[in-house]
Amino acid sequence: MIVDTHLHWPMSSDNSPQPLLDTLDATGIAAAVVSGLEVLFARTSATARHWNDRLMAFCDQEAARLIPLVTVHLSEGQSALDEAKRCLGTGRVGGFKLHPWLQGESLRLPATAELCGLAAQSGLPVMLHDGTPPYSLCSQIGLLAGEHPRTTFILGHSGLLQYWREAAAVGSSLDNVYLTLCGGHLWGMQRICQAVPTQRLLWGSDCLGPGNEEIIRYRLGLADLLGLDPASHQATMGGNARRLWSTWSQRVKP
Amino acid sequence: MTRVDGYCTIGLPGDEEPSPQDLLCRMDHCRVDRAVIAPPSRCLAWANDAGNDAVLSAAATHPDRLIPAVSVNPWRPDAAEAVIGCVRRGGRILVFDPAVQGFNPCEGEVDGILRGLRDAGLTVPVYVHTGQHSFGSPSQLALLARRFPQVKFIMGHAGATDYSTDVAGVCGLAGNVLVESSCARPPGFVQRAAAVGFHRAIMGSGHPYNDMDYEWSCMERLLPAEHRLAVLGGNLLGLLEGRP
Repeated sequence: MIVDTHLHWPMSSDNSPQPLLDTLDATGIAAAVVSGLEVLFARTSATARHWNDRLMAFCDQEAARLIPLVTVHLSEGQSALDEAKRCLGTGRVGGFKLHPWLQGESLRLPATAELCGLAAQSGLPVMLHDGTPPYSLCSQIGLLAGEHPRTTFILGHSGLLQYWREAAAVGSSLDNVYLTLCGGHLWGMQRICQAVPTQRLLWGSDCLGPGNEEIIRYRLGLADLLGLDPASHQATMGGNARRLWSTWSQRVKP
Repeated sequence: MTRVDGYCTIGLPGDEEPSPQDLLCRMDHCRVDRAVIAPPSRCLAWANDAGNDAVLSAAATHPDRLIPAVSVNPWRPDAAEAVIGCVRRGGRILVFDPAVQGFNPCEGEVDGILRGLRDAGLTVPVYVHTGQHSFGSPSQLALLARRFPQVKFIMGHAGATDYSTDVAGVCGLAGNVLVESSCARPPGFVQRAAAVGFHRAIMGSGHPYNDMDYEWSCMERLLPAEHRLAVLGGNLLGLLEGRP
């Protein structure tokens, strides 16, 4: 069972998940952890609320397969935290997605610590774009993870092409950090698999919406070349995600 | 059709990267006729002479298969002389990796080398690794390329990952820049090649950091049939032969 833990989908269309479900079916993916696109460029909590609501409604239509990650804008301070609490209060979110590079927000903003606390209390992870300075270095996320050991963090790219060694260093030293194999080259991903405990590895496509099926297929093919033993491969491609979002799985099962 | 891999790395004894013989076996398996071979990062940064000797020696042994790409850290006081020496010994492409070698392409560190080659009457394409954030952006390469319009530059990795959006703009500004595909992922690279013109696109697997077989099979499947001949070898061979 494959779980794509890093997938974006635009929320501005008719809000039907069918095209995404068709994409998942065509590529053999059982479930996806879904982030929006437009929300990353939203500039206020009010617009974030709009996009978060659309994302939750989108995923609700196929809750057994689609897990939404909502986004807040930390520079908004209390408004961002209010939006985070509102989303958590719905019981319909699988965690938070932050993209400090695109959002233009440092993780050292005051609201970050409280958001990490909210995520820890809820037992939900915080996924972050990583591999891009100056706000999204793996080590900056590692710094945050060290400061918030009860919060689970996910490196959404495991350092991309340039910072995979840094991602491995973070993953091998901090037990509360998961690494998504998504965006690096094969050589780097293989070495991450050697350095980081298998139970904290995930797989993702970084599909950006309709028409991106080829990147899913490409990254599925790369995963097959990692050389993992069957148990590790199964864990990385889906088992670890199912464990990480186990409360979500329980929620959607009658 | 001659299938030419636009960028591979070989190792020296003790390195994890493949030996020339291992690379040739891989090329045979993948039906790749020829490949550009460059030294590993440590030889780009520091052990330049050992790296250059390795690629030149391998290419001299297999001149019909291996195309040597040489590099000298531009901070070396004798950088220009060292590069000229390598080119006279058979170096066909000059490689710079700004992040590994610690310089910004637009700040002038390589200008003396390029002027030295010109003054010596030597012409080689210049491959510049791009994608690293501070040193090695496509826009930095554009400024360098505009200072040397007679030199052909190859934008290694096509700005992957975070500068992919800059590729078309850079190619629009600097007509002497071609783009190479390694690490840029075939699905995305084909889109960028369409934007800048397939006549400016070069297939490179980036072996061993990427899997040669997988990268070639994906690229062949995704490239429009009418552009395969050019992207999979023709454009690079034309560049090496000095065709416009």
